[in-house]
This record gives sequence, C-alpha cells and structure tokens, in this order.
Amino acid sequence: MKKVNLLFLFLCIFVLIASGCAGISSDSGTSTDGASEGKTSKEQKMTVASDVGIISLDPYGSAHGEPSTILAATQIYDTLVIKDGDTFTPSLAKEWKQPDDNTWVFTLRDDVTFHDGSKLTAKDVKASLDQLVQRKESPLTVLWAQLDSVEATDDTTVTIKTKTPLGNMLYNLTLLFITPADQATKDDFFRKPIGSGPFKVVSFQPEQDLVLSANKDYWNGAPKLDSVTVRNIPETAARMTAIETGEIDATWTIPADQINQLKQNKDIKIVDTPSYFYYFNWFNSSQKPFDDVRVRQAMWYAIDTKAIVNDLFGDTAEVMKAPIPSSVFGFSEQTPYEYNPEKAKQLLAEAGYPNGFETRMIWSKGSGPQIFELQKALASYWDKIGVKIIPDQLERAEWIEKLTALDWNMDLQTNAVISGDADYTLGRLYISQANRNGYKNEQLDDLLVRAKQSTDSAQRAQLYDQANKIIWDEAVGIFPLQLKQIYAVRSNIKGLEASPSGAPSFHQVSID
Amino acid sequence: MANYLIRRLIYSLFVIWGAITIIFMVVRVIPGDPAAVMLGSNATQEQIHALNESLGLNEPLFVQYKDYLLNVLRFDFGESFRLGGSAMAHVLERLPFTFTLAFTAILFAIIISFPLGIQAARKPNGLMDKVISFVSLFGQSLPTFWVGIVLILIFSRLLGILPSAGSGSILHLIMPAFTLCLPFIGMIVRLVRSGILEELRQGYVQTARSKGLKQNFILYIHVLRNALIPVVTVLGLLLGEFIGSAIIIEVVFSWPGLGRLLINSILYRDYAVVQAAIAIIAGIYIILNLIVDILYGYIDPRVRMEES
Amino acid sequence: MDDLNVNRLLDSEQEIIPVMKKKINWKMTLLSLPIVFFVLIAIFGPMMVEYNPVQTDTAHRLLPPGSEIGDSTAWLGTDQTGQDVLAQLIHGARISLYVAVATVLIGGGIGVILGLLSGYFGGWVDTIIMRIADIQLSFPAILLAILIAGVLGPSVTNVIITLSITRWVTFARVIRGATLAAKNKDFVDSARVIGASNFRILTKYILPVCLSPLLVVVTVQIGLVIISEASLSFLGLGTPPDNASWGLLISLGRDYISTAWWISVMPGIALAILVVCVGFLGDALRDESDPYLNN
Repeated sequence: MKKVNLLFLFLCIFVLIASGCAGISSDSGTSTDGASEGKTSKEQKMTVASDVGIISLDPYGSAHGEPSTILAATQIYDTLVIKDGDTFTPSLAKEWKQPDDNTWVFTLRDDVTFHDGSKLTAKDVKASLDQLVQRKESPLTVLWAQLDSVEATDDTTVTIKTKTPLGNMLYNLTLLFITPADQATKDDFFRKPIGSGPFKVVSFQPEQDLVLSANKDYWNGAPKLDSVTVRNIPETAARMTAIETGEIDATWTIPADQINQLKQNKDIKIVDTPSYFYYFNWFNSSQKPFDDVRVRQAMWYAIDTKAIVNDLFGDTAEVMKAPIPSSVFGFSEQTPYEYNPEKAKQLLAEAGYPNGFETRMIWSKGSGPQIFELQKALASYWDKIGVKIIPDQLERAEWIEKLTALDWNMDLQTNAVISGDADYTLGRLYISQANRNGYKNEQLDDLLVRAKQSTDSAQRAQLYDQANKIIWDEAVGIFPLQLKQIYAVRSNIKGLEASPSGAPSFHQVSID
Repeated sequence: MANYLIRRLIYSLFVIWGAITIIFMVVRVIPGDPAAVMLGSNATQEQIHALNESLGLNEPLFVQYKDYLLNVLRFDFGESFRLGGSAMAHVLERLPFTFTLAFTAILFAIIISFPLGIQAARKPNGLMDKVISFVSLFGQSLPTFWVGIVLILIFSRLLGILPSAGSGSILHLIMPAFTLCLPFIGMIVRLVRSGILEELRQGYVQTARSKGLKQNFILYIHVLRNALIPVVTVLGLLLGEFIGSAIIIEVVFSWPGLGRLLINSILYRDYAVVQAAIAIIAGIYIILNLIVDILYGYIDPRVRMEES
Repeated sequence: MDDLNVNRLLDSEQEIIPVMKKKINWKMTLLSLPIVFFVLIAIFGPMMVEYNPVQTDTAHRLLPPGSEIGDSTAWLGTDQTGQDVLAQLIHGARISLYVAVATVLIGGGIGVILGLLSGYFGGWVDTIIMRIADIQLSFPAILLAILIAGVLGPSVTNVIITLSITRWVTFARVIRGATLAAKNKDFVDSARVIGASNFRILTKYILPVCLSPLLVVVTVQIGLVIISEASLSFLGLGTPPDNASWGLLISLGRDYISTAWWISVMPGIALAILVVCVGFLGDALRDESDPYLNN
C-alpha cells in the first residue's frame, strides 16, 4: 500500500500547486469580478472593453499619443480647455486672453483640488507643460516646438509665451493633462497616479484592467457612476461575445461585418460619430516612378474608392473628401477622383509607363481595421492597369523604421489628427523640411507655416483650404476613407457619447 | 550526491547564461529600434536619435552587454521602455497568471488522459483503443487559437455558461486551460498506454496474475506507478511548451499572463522586459527539470542507485 | 533537462525496435491515401484551378458555400475580399505541405547529423551539441520562432528556416538515443574490428537502425510543423498574405467566424484531416516497429 501513497502524494502536490496559484488569480481578480456582479444591484458600476490595452497612464510619456492612454487620461486628469465641436469651452481655465500674438494668459479656477485633497494651482500647470516639453520619448513634444516660456504669474494665472504665434495653441492644450507638480516626477507615480478629474485610480495593470472610482468632490459635479473598469479584450470574437452576453457594458472598434449582428440584439445600441482617424496610401515622391505627378494621379483614377469603402467598410467609414478628416479644423472639400481606369492608363502612358511597373507597398498588420483587405483590394485594382504590387507586410517596429527612413515605394497606414487641428498632420507631415514622403513644394511649405503662425481662425481655415487643394490635386497620397468611431453600448447605459478622438468622457454616464 | 548536485548547479547556471546572452543578442538584431516604436509613425529621425541616446542604446554593443550582465547579477533587468517601471516587476506580476493557467492545464491533461490511456491499454488495438487515439489525435490537429475562438462562440455566446474573456474566477480558467491542454492529451494518453503495456509484460505482473489477483488491482497499484515515470519526465519537459502555447491562448482569452506581455514586448522592442521574461522562463525550466529528476529518483529507486 | 532521463526513455524503446517488416500493410496504405490525395492536390491542383491571388471582388465578398457568381459557383463560398475559398484552399495546400516537408527535411537533416555525431563520438562533441540543445529547449519553441521570424521578416523561405531551427533538437535527441543504443551492438563492434571507417560505420550500420524511430518522429513533426506555422500566422509572423498557407487562411478568417464561418472552417477541416492521417500513419509505423505492442 505504500506505493499507492506515493502516487497519491504526487498527485496531491500537483493539485496543491495548482489550487495555490488559482488562489492568487482570484484574489487579484476580485475587484473586477465585483464590478460585473454589481450591475444587477443599484450600484452604478460600468465595465467597458477595448481591443487595444492601456499601456500607461503617463500623459507625458511615449504612450501619450495612444488613444487608449488619452481615454484614461480624460477620466483621471483635467485639461485647461475642452474642445466642443468647433469651439473651446473652459475647463480648468475660466478664461483666457492674448495680450499680443506670442503671449497667452490663462486664468484658472480656484476651487479645483487633486484626488489627495491638495489644491491645483498655476504651478502645477507650469510643471506639467515643462514635463511634457522635456520628455524625449513623447511623440507629442513636437507640438510645443515653438514654446518660449511658461510662467505661473500667481496661483491662478498662467502665462505662456511662444517664439512665433501659435495658431493651434488651444488644440494643443486639449492634450495637456495636469498632474500635481510635487509628485509627478516620482518614479512610481504613474502606476497609480492622481489628477483632478472625475475619476480616481483604484488599480491599474498595464494592458489589462484599469479600475476607476468616482471622485465625489469633482469641481464640476460628482460623476453619476460609482466606478468604471476598462478592460482589454484583444480578440474580436471574444469582445463581441462579451458585449452580447452583457459581460461588458460598452466596447468600441467594431468591425463592419459585426455591426448588423449587434444591431439585431435589442439590448445593444450602436452610437457613432466621424472620427479623427483615417487611412492614407502615400507615394514616395522622391523616387521613380512616383516622382511624376501623372503616375500618382493615375494610381488614384485606377481605384474605385466608393466601391471599396462601401463593400469593405460599410457603415464604419466614409469616403474622404480632403487629405484630413471632415471633423478636423482646416477641412475643406475637394473634387473627388472618379474611377476611370482608361484615364489612368493614359496618364501612365504619358508618364512613360505604358505597360505599368512593379512597386513595393509596405504596411503594418495592426495599423488599422481591415488593413489587409483594403491592401488586397487596392492591389487588385492597380493590377488591372498593369501596376504590379509586391506586398510587404511588416511588424510595427520594422515598419516604423522603414517609414521614417523613407525606405519604401508606397505606404498604407492609418493616421489620426489627435489634436483635432490640421496643423497636427498637415503642418508636420507635408512640410518639405520633415521629408516624410519625399514630396517637396515651397508654395505648400509657405501656406503651412503661415497657417501655423496665424491666430486668426478664419485666415487659418482659408490657408488650409489652399494646402488641402495642393496635397489633393498633386496626389501626394491617396486618401481613401475616414473611419467612424463606433461604440456598441448596452441599452441601459445613458449618456455615453461617441467622441471623434476615441476618448469619450464617462463623467455624465449613468446606468438605468 | 553532493557532487552531482554541484555539477547540476554549475550546468544550470551555464544554461541560464546562454539563454540570457542569446536573448540579448537576438532582440538587438531584430530590425526596428525601440525609440522609433515609442515615438510612433509621426516622429522625425532627429527625435529618434535623441531618444536612443538617452536610453543608452547608442553605446557600443559590448558596453551594453557588460552593463547588462553586471545588472543581471544584482537581479536588475532595467526599466521597461514601454510600460515604465522595473521590467522584472512587470514580469513577476504576470507570472502567477501564466503559472495558474499552465498548472490547471496540466491537471486537466492528467485528469483526462489517464483514464483514457488506461482504457486504451486494456485491449490494445481494440475498438476503444482506436477511438481514443482518434479523439486524442484530433485534439492536436487544430490550431489552438481557432479551437479557443470556437469554444468562446459555443460556451459563451450560444450557451452563455462561461465568461468569454479575462480572469477572476475558476470559471474564467476553464476554457483557456482546456484549450491549452488539448494538444498535449494525445501525447500523454500514448505515454500512459505504452507505459502500461510495457509494464504488463514484466515478470511481477505475471506473478501477480498467477497468484490470482484481480486484474484491476494489479493495473492500478503496480503498473500505474511504474507507468508514471515517463509521464512525469515528459510533463516536466512539456511545462516549457505549455508556457509557450500559453502565449497564444492568453491572447485569445485575454488572460493577463506572461505570454501577452512577452509578445507585445517583442513587437514593441521593449528589450528589458523581453530579457527579464526569458531569464525567468529559462530559470523555471531549469528548476522544474531538477525537480523532475528528484521526483524521478523518488518514484524509481533504480535511478538513485545509478546517480550515486 | 538532464539528457539521462530522455535517453532512458529512448533506450527502452530502442531495444525493441527491429528493422521494419517488408510486406504490404493494408492499414498503412489506407491511411496514406488521404495524404497522397493532398500531395497530388498540392502538386497539380494549382494547374487545374484558375486562381489569381491578386484579383479581389469586393462586391461578392462573404458569400456562403454554393453561391452563384455570374456563371460560376463558389462551392466553398467566398472570403472577406471576395476570393474563392476552394481555390485558396488548393493553393494553400501547396504552401502548407511545402513548408512542412521542407522544414522536416532541413530541420530533420540537421538534427539527424548532429544526433549521430553526438551519440557516436560522445565526449566533448556530445557535450557541446547537447548543451546547445538544452539552452534552446529552455526557450519555448514558439517564442524562439517569434524571435527568429522577427529577425528574418515574413516570407515562405524564412518561415521554413524559423521552424527548422526550432525543430532540430527533437530529431537530434531521438537519433542520439538510437545511436547510443546501436553503437555497442555486436554488428557495430565487428565492423569496427574489421577496420571500417567512422563514416562508414555511421552511414552503413548505425543510420539504418535509426530509420525506424526517425520515421515515427517525422510523421509526428509534419503535423506539428503545420500547426506551428498556423500559430505563427495567428501572430502575423507566418507566410506572407500573397502566399497564404492554410494556417494563414484560418487565422485571417477567424474574425468572421460568427458571420462567415466557412472562411476559417474549410481550411480547418482540411488541416485536421491531414494531421490526423499523418498522426495515424505515425502510430501505425510505431506499432509496426514494436512487436510487443501488437499482441
């Protein structure tokens, strides 16, 4: 019988180890579990899920440009101003004025406190902007290249001086999140940061769960929800299942082919809005054959943009009418390129390529929804005019390296005008000095610089209109479609508005 | 015995050194650099260069390697570029989840395959044997990610009895653990089957039979224990594979384990996290094998004799 | 892993592996039929079915099996870009089988050579080869594949290289075990006595003895390689989209599984049939070579 005991002992060890580990996970998981159980009671607990996890809560770090980080930051921190359609509404800043073109003076509210009870003052604003400008790893530091100085004149007054007039100042400020000056430089601060926003951080595991609880003392009124959990469910099938079964209350980034299925579910409503996200296919204008404008235009005439967008994207996207999405400041409608393969062939022949040519197209797998299908459809149309595409799907890291080194013929990607202002993309990507796609045009440079430095919005709109026309007519790239922000929301959730930047505020959301 | 343990220890250290050195080299050979990924597609070459400078990635490779080894000796794997904070802390935070998943999967595998293996061995090449080997082969013939998705659709969407994603309760564990163990069941069933068959040929079984002991009794008591030896060995070896397959399962089921962290860290060139994770996985692999060896000697005294 | 354990396992198998019987085995022939069918499809299918991987037809996407498009019928439906699933499947067969066979040939070849050297010469040759194998085994294979695929970039050739690197160890270990068992056998000793060179002993005497376990490993590995390639595709590191393997088809179709199941289920079925058949063939081979298991 001793031998039986040995076997038994051995199995016991396995069971013990396994159950011990399971304990760990259920302990750390209780907070999220509680959130989903609470839905049946009167407690206002909401769980949402996205396909891309929140990497970091640091609004000055390398993840700052990521929509997931901006979403989290919108709940935890405040900004000086908030963009509301085409205008700006006060938030931390009660009012602002411009004594001269290079100076902005902001007057802050005096009743705002951080989650730990300390007062938010002009010093914190200065420290936050200083930190953003100094951090080398932030992709948004460049927005502030013209910054001269920022001073805390007194507790409620901030003076920002720029080297040249900065037309997009207010847009940039919508991405400047304020953290407490004396704490934000500490090493572990962003593991569980504090801000002044409507929600406090309860716990945060990168790319897993962010658990937030209501800030009852919020200066703009306590949020209606008691807590919010933001989960990460990368696999589409799992995420769609979770919203259908009610495991989660809302999710976004819905594939076009799933929308109809979700619409049939009476417990789910679909909320959408045009977004700041769009696709472009750039040509490397510094190399043959794309140094010839006729070739670039031919490529555009060769594709049936409307058919591609309708067939592949359905309700999730619209055909683009300018090099920037329609929801962005600086948008102006351009003449569409019609589908005309004959004209395309003729243009190619004029440019000296009567039999077409072979060219390499790069893209990164995770760059946007259905990028693989879009690439295939484009290649199919180009094949018909004799342009053979060598597809080159790259890993993100490699793609970025090739892209920035201009080591490509064509580049398909999504892009976002995160600040909501044309300068963010047009001003940075199409200026000759940046040399992002090999296209150089002094007239365009002049327009873009003038638009950046003007603080008169009517004048800026007019300058961007001209810039749009040049980029569009010269076919620096093909701009096929702008994506919509689409949210699938359980019907008992009220007040969740889709936001073009992909970062809706949960402040006004409630559960019936 | 002490001599043997010391030899094993030195050898284990050598394997760990090899693993962390190879990983150091490989992550640096992969095209794409961390600064470019961090700054995103809108960055300029100057920005990328400045960031690489401040990350210390412009130093000669040898200098980086020297610093790396010295820090590793202090169990310091550096800071995560992407997530911020200590790389090892991130790895250790995720490790228990992957462990839970892997151990549950092994438990499932044992619970499922032992009875199957015993049944199959009762009548070798009989109908039951054929059915069992078909089922277990079928289990390993489909990609796990696909099986996982189908399970989600059936058990979460259609039947609504299991949660589709995430962690937090035993229920969350069932589908990922089952998906993970599926490809290994066939192998274990076969090990159990052949182990039993081989044991049945041994003299002591014949003796026991001639004494008139009931067949079931012989099977369970004597034979199983000896048939366990190859299974234990292979399970020890397989834990590495379990963790490897868990990488994919974790993505499908949003299980917050090490695998997802590792994949994303590789994709984003987060060197420190990749190095820390590999060091941990290699370390676990070594320790497990040591345990397997000891267990092995415990189950089969003959081994102890040979070692000493 | 201390190689002692593995060897003990293998040793016990080696002793009972005689040379294969030379008579027609109907069971094996039957099991081979589907495999032969797939191989024929892989070789001749692409010549018979018209398929242009570049041509998409977005107006006819996601059509269920049996749909009529103009005067042709999509027997297995169309995929997310409007391409015919059946045609893709036939072309995918070529890629998948090519990857599997090439990987087993290259990875297996390297493994066999290193295993023979390691087992036959022992000493420092054995130590070096087996320590390298140990270091490699301390990485999960899929992880190693991810890293190597990252370095090499996506192409069919690179997938083969990647998978070969992750597979050689298994072959080396099995062959090493078989060599260890064989090298002290009488017939090898007598060869040595009559002055045969090491090369001759390895190729003429030891290698033939290793063939039987090798065949078993090959059949298991072919299935594993096809599945591994699918896993790489899932992570976006498999074959490039213009040379879609079954694994990639399954992976790309998974987002549509609740609305257009046929895109990933059809290649899934093909894959399952192939792997099951190859697996059974391996079992049959093993039974063949192990007389004790037959009675």
